[in-house]
Amino acid sequence: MELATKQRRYSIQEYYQIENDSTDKHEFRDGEILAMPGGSPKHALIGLTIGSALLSRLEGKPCLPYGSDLRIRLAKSNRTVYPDVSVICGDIDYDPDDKSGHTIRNPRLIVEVLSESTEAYDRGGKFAAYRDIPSFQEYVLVSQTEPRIETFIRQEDGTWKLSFFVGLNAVAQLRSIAVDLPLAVVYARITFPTLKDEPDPSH
Amino acid sequence: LTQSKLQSFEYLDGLIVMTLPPEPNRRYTVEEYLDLEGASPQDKFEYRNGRIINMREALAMAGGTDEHCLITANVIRALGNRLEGGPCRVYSNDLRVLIPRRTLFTYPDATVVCGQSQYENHPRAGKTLSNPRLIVEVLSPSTELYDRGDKFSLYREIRSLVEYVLVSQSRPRIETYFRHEEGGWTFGPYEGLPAAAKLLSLNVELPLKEVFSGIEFPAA
Repeated sequence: MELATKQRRYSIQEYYQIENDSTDKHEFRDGEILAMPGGSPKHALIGLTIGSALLSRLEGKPCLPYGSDLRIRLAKSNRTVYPDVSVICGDIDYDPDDKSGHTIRNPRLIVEVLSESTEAYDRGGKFAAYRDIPSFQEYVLVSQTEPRIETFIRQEDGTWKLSFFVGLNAVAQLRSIAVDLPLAVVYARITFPTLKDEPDPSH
Repeated sequence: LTQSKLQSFEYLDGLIVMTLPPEPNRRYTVEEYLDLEGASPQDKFEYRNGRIINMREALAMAGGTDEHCLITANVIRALGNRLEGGPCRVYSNDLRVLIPRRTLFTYPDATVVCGQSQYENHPRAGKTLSNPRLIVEVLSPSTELYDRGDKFSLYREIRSLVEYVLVSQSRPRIETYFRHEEGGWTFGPYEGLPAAAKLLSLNVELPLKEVFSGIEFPAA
């Protein structure tokens, strides 16, 4: 990827100009432009299934789910991201730095489907950056290897309530948007290997 | 002799004893693992569902181990000072801990036990703690995925474990996971040197300034 190998740093406006003309997706991270890796078919299917389940469950409410083409600006950490699914409630707050109007700043809920290459970032640095968004209330992490969903809900004292929903009979409660999401729906078309795969033994 | 990466050597009363390294692709029983642990007191191995991982090698491969060691020492000092005189105490990363299913034996960076310690005893490998109250892991790039994901998942199987604490090396950040009696967890992110992490399981505040004392972070 030519962009990624260049050593120069970019302004957010330059990034928007490049990105809005690009056929590939890149994230902006404080001056750097990084190509986004493609996900597995399973990853894409789980993301789409959740988006579709949220779309029907949010009918009649002032909230809408968006797919992984939605770009979000994280002003404090000076980066952009394309979450797997984002939910916005009420009016969209557009990033004024992106004149094309393709970048928003006010997600209430974000879903990330975990994969081995991005899980550490999703749980660590990316979650930390999301926490700086004032409108951000709930973070939903979805496993690909077993039926498991984790939700983090922002509390008034600065902590987050963490819940685990495990097994196909479980129902994840997405409290910030008052939606119940059965894992049987999320994983309806997913088959799991019978033996649970081991974490990377190379440590 | 000690430079060899493939095999471990130990000096034992005038003899140099060679211990065989674990084969990465073989599956071991717990008994085989504990025999290896007993035979190589110089090394620390983790047992993970049939696999054996040399923790010293893993740490060396992560690079820059001095910061990891300093942060770990700072955590132990800060916790130790605050726990002094109470029913809880902090152990260094030479303490081996197991989970009830016996699919994980590992050496957390720091472990806090309150009240009576419970051990499983092995004739050669010695004691393994089974009732930690709090576990601290200092993150490094090569272990972050494991510490945040599968290892935390395994640790959650320990009933006595009420709190899990992750400490960053690359920025002043501490994350705590506190288990409520009625189920559910509280996640507490603490960022920046003026912050103090609230360890609810110990009723202790851990100032980040003490944890990251002596660590220089790259300018933001």
